[in-house]
Amino acid sequence: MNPPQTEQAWARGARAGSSHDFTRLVAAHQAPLRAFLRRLTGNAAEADDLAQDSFVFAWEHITRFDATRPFRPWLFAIAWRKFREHKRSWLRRMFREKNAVPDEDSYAPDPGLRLDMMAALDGLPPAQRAAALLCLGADFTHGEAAQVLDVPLGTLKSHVARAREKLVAALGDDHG
Amino acid sequence: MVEPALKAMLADRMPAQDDRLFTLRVMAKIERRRFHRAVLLQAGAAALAALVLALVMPQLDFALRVGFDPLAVRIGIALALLVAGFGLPRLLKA
Repeated sequence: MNPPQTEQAWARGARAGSSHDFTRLVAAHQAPLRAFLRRLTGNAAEADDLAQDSFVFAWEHITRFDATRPFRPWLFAIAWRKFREHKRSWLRRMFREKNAVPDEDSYAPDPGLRLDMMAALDGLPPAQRAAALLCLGADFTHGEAAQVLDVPLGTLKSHVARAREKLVAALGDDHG
Repeated sequence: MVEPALKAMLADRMPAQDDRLFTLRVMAKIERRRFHRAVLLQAGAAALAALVLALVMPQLDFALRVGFDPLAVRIGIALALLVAGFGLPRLLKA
């Protein structure tokens, strides 16, 4: 998939050092990236911190980005790596578990498909959850999602298929 | 059935498309990091220049007292300071 012309121009500008063009890229991609990270982490504040770190990293390494390709998979790949690094940091995890304030909508009394879906999704391993969120929820192609998660295409397809099976099985009783 | 529910759920948690505060926070963080890096670089260069000067000072002092034309030595010191102060940071930046 070719990136839109305007985005390509912004990416080229950012590569040339224009923070103005990079600001436009941030504005264009912040909402889907934060939504993706919120579903991965289950915590809005943590997700926003990770999103900020991802954008900062993207700016500092923008010369590595090929401006002829779409910006979104490259950015989401950075966010996925940041999420995994964050998960590995046991100190942070301990702190988070001690101080975590649940998201209002994660625990809101919402007895419907949405809540069942959230519970089913949270039960998936992180790679399958991310694959499902990207391919089933955010219209990424399998190729783009494989690039984001840094896995071979076959592995990605298997993640998506397994996630779909588990989600359908989890939701099947009440909503199938 | 899974896709529409996932999309609806993602859309439900989607922050505002035009969240300028978040964009501003990201750009402020970038500028802050750039500033800290520049300060560190300048401070490092200054410390290095001070160290070099401290090391060569005895010789310079000796040269000043003995033999050389005092004016020429002072011009030399001024040039060395100028190079250390302005040239080195630019060289490191490049």
